[in-house]
Amino acid sequence: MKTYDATTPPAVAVPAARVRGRGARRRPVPLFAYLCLLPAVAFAGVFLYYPTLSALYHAFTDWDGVNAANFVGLANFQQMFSDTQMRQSFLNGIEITVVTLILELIVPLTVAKMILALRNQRMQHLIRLLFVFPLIVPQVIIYLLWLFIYDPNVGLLNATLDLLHLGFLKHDWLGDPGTALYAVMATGAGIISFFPFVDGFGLLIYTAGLQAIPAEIIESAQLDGAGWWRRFWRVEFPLILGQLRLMSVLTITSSVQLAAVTAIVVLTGGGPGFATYIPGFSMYYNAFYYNHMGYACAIGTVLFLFVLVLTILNLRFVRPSLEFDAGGRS
Amino acid sequence: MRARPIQQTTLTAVLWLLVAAMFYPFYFMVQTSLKDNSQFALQFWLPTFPLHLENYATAFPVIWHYIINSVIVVGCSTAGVIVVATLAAYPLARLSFPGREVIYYGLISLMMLPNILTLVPQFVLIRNLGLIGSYWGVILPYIAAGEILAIFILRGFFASLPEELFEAARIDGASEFQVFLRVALPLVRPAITAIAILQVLINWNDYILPLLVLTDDSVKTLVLGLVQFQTRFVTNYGPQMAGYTIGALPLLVLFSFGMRQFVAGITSGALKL
Repeated sequence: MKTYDATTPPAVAVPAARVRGRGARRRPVPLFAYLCLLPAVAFAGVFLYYPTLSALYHAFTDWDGVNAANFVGLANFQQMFSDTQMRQSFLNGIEITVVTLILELIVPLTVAKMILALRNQRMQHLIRLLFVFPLIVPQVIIYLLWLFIYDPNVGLLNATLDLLHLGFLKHDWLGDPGTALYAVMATGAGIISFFPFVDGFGLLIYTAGLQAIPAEIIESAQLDGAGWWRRFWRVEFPLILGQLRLMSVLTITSSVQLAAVTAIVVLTGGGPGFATYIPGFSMYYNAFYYNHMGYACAIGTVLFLFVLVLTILNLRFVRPSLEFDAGGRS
Repeated sequence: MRARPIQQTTLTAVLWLLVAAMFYPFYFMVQTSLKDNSQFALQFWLPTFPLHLENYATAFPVIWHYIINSVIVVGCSTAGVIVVATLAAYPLARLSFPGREVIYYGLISLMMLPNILTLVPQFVLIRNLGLIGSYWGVILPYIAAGEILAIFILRGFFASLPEELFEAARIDGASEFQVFLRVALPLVRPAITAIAILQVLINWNDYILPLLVLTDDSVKTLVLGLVQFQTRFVTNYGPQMAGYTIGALPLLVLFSFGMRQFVAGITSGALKL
């Protein structure tokens, strides 16, 4: 990057009146730069670096958040793998992640293709905009509406089943351990969009990817006699791999973030029993209901390592193809 | 593509069906918000008359101060992110000084940090700072969390500006701060808009940290208030749904003025990771 050098004499003659101004710029630039950076570095240090180090350290202690913590070695990690509640959390977490990942890879992509196949441009824009709409409705309102949908007495879902003469299927959807986890998934679980799972964000990303494919490539495939399905698999699919991988990483990482915990806290509180516990919720519960903050930090550390490994894999193997895509677009 | 009218009609029909399925809960919210309990019991599916607008009058006073609290928290944290991040991104992009790379990567690597790891120590820190029950207890962590992606985006924008502009201003005698404020800042306005939109969206919806920190009813944000609302009007569905409808409105109004920027803003979030 080019930066100016205060010692080089200016190429043009500077009127005397401006000399004072020029003198001002001769002040050491580093001080100005450091002053500008100070607030950002201070915020990051106090509210991100310090808590990170604190979490990584306290994962090996019996910290309760108030009293001095005692070092307990790997005890928290051992407990995590023998704890039935934690085992259930991890199993639920994996199940939710796999299901939401499959939905996120298939549904918004299919809808993106369907919208692009419409010949009416204004219709394309309108429908895409409608699918983006839920992104600006607070997630919590969506969960509260789903609480109403699932209500065993007056809920929309049971009423619909009655209307369709399927009353025998009526359920206490969130109260039954057999259905609670699936009921949470239908709301998107804080990871994807709710039923019918047409995630507005994924839709925009896939649409951008599909639109970036040069029309000539599709046309030449058509001339070669490739049918719709063959064109998709052999031509379009490889060219949007970057977008698919991006959405995969985003979906998997958001399944261990606080947004997923919010879904559980508002919808079920983890119940019935441990039926809807996920790792992040276990962490939250151990920290703030039992004050087992050391144990909670250990759970957080495991989730952090999971995200870290995924991010590193993504940086090593995904970025090149994304850049290739970006290059092809311009 | 060859004209296939039947195919087009089917396609349109399926898409509208999906839109309808997605909007059904919202339709239900609005039509129920205009009913009293007997109308709700007798006609569950369709709007009924007379419309009970007084449900909104019941809900509004309860929800009003939660909206104000959300505006304060989100407004301050968004403004904070923009000030802190533009100040930091400018020297990182345009000035050379010892330690620049270290500071930049030190900040940017925090993008990999999942918010789940820092939650517990962050809460203890906020408690030790005496900020439980204070707006600052969420505003400060929001600024820290938001500045990272903002610095990343803004640094790219600042770096892409032509150096001649800066040289011209400096020759005219502008101080380094004036160059930043008068020359650089106006040129990155699109990036600032995108960051602001992203921040508003993220922090308006945040639930867990406010739940832990904003314990006093007088400082609770909208999403916290709405969950309480549900328990307050347990079987009184009209006012309950009116409350949800009011709660959904502020962002709807805000973003309906700039749907294009909104779409650009959320897609810029894809840069993260």
